[in-house]
Amino acid sequence: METQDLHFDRDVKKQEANPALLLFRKKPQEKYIEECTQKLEKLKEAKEEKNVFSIFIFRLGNEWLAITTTVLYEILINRQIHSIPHRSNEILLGVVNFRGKFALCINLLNFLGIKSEKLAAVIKKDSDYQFFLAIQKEQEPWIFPVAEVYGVVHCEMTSLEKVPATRLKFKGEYLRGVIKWNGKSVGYLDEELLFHSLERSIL
Amino acid sequence: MLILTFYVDETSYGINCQHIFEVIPHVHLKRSLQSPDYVAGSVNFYGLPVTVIDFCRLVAGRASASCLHTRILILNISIDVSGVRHLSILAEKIVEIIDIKPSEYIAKGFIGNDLPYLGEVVSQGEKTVHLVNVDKLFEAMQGIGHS
Repeated sequence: METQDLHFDRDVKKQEANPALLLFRKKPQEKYIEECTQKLEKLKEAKEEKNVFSIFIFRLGNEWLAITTTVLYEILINRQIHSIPHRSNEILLGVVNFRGKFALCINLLNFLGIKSEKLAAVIKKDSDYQFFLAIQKEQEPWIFPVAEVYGVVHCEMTSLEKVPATRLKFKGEYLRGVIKWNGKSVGYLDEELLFHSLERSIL
Repeated sequence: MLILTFYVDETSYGINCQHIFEVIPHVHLKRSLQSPDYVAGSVNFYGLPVTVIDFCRLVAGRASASCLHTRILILNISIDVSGVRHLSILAEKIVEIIDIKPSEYIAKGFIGNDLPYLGEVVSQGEKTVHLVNVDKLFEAMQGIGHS
């Protein structure tokens, strides 16, 4: 085999140079092989579950929305919003004491353009809005009041549907899709876009 | 193209990553007494029995060494009405994937080759890799085992 002879020495040297080959030269332990064999037989069920993502469902006005639990930092109850002189407006409500620091509190209802009859009464009075969600990615947290909190739900990727153009009366571009839950259509928020837009418009 | 490489003694072989479904450790196999000796057995792959061909036995007449870098490559053969069909190869020194440019590809570079599933060669610097034609390998293995 001519081709083989020409490359013989070089191939062997190349092999020896690969540290992975040295590391994995030893015989595997029986226990390890047993575990792998069993895991492989069962693994199908676990793999099927991998397409599950977890979301937190809450209500703003008449709209049920969801946000990924990976950015949900905390749920706060009964916080006082301190308005910022000359800066507070319909979207930036003010600041809230969050873990000893001031965090910006926004009116997500207005930001997304959700119409609500209780718009005027929002936050200034206690009314429905006692719960606040604190969401955070890498930067500072954002706090916003919500009318109602449901909790964490695990969804399969397949249950995420496209946003119907007709249904929404607010800024549908902030949604990744719509999830059917408990007979309701829950808008799944695009947290990346939300953070980006919040930072750009307010900061 | 991405090629996963393995060795039989000094010779380097490779399979295009497109054909590789998964790489698993050399787990316990179910032996079938009627199969030829290059069939190492069958592996329970998520409930599916997949035939395992020992590549060392196929080209060198000896069993693959029992060490951690001897692993099983589960290959995609075809996806048809009945679902995905697999075949798998047990081979030694599965630790690397190389990226080959089209200029490094040499067709029919292996001299004196009788095996229909070998014949194409890729060369990267000093390294020469003999490509395994997965479809031809499967054709040659037809009728053995379950896949």
